[in-house]
Amino acid sequence: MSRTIAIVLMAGGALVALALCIYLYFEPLSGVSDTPAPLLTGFGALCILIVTFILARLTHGGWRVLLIILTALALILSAVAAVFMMHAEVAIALVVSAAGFLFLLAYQQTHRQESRA
Amino acid sequence: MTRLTFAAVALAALAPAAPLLAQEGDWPTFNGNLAAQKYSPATQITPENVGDLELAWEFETGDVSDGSGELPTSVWSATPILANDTLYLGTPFYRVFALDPGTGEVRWSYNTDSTLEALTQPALKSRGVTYWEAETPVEGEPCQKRVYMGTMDSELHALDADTGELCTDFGDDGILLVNKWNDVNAEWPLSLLQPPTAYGDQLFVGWAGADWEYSVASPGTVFAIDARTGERNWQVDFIPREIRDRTGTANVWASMSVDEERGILYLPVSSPSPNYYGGMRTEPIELATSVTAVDTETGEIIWSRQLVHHDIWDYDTGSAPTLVDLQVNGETVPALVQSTKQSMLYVLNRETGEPIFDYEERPVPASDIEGEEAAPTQPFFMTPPPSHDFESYPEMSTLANLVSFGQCADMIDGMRYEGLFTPPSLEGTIVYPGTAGGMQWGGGALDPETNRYYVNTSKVVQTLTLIPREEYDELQGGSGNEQGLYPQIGSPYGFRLLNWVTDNGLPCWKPPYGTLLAYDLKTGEMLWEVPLGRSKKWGFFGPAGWGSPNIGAPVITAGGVLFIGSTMDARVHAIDPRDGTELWSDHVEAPSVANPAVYTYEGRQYVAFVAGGNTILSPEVGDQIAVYALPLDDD
Repeated sequence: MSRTIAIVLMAGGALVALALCIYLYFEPLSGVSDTPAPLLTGFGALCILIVTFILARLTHGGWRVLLIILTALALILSAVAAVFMMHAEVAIALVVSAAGFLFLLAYQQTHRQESRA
Repeated sequence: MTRLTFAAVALAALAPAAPLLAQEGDWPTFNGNLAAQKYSPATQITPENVGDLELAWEFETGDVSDGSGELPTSVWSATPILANDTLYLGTPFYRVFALDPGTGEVRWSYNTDSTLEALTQPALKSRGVTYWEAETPVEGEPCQKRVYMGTMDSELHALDADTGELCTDFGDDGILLVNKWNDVNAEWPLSLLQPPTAYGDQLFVGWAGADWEYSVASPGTVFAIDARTGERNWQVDFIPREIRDRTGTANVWASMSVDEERGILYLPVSSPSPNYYGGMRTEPIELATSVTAVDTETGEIIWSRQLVHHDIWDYDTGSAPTLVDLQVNGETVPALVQSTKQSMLYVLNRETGEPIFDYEERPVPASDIEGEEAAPTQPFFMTPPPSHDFESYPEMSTLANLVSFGQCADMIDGMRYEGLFTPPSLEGTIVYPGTAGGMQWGGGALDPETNRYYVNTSKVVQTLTLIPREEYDELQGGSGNEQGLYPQIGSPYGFRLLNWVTDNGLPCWKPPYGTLLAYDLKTGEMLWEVPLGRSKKWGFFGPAGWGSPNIGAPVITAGGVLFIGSTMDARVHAIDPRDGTELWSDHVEAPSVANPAVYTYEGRQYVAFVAGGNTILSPEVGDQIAVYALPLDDD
């Protein structure tokens, strides 16, 4: 798995989730229009999107660990929120983003080990 | 109980047994038929193909307000009426739309130009229109078929069903001011929110008021008026003349049913004013909170059965009794079933008012309020089984109490609760079922082939606290909102009515919050009970097993599918009546707090849901009618 694909998955999943949340907020028949649920979930997706690019550049350090923990938390909470919003498509997008996140971490770990070797 | 036994027996002797089925294809009345069965003989949609249902068309009236602007919030609970090959809709802005039933195209519309002020209710409300047609129409004459639309400010408009033009022979140039008969204790106009019931050449008109507002108010009446002219034929009164200076209401604000063979009108009569203090009306008011049967021709009371004595809980009888011919031990028994806020089902012989199943008068707690004389006993109808436990309210949710830092426990600390019919008190009384039900104004649906009855119910815990007048006046000068402070002006007490929820809106009691039930009326057994819909807060939905508080009613079809909206999640549902399994659901614009309508037009079966919302359930309001059908290829 290349770094680029990991970033595309993570950012792409978050971007799709964000777009879906915006749509759901404004679509009268979404069942969640004009409610905080899509805004909160969308905010989570936006944070993940931003973090993707920061995390891609951070390969070591204490901030990286903190960011990884916060990102994992944001992914889990946003996905749970999406499930309780009864919109599986948002949850699926966030699962894709989570997969990208894990691939990115795996890539960075492998890359660091190779550098050390 | 008031009984005119001779009249009842005479009627029984004359009455032939007859089926009470809706006319094939149409949905001409609020409850599908005058027997209030909410039953459609349509068979096209079945449990096997209901999953293929698709939105055939939708229409938005534009008549909606969330209360954030100049207009009050709208509450739209209209049942669409299918008659005259047209679908008629009344809106909470008191406009009428005539739509093509197959496409939703507007054929005509009419604006009553009613004032859009919440004169008697916290919101602009409407439950739609009434359709009437002459038995022997005069060829070429207009207004042989009419649509009637009532307004909050007591006007009843009569329109030609084909053109939407006013029928000028009715009232004053087509508009009848019903409030002209509001001549006792008139504190507010008689609001015509529930469409009148049309039978023969008469309209039976009830009205809504504000019995939480004033102690002395308009005494309850139902008017029978000539459908052509608007002239009053008779009226029936529910408050004895000698105590009208101390009370009021006991009105009929919900729909009514008619036994067409026997010529009997059945009236669900509400509680007297004020809602929660009866110290000024300690005399028996026998017709209040009752089912009352009257002669459609004369208005003479045939029988009446009181369901709550000296009602101080606002347990209005709030839905049309459903008429059913019960097959018991090989005999046909003309019966009715009355669903109620207090969650009991009253199955009565509709000729005499006598209970079909056993019941008992049980001792109930006494009031500790000075001047109040709570009834020493209340009637308990335990067959069919009620939807709520009468001995205890649901357990407190540990989670809700934890996350609210103990607010749930604090809210009921020191409050009084000794089961159903615990009287209101100064320290606060836990009320369960809540004053909004239990079973609400929609009532239930009956399959006349099987004698099975389906009804939805809310399981909501409330707290009610009487507040001495001086203290109340210091709290606030006027009337609060629907769930808060109310004055009961003229009585020694105002009151505070709250749902037992945290400041964040979390229910403090364990789910389910609402269910759907099926009963076999032949035996009085409950067949099944399932959670209905999902609760919703901030756009997040609760688990399916929790159910949702609900308003509105189910309808049942001969095809074997039950349709219902009603829930907070703004979904409309198709349910398998055999076991309560959800077969299909879809999102609509707002909670569909109206009774659905099922009709057949040009050979295609449609199911129509009005998605108007009700702020009691959720802040979402809407102006959508969503009409579903099977794809044309599958027909």
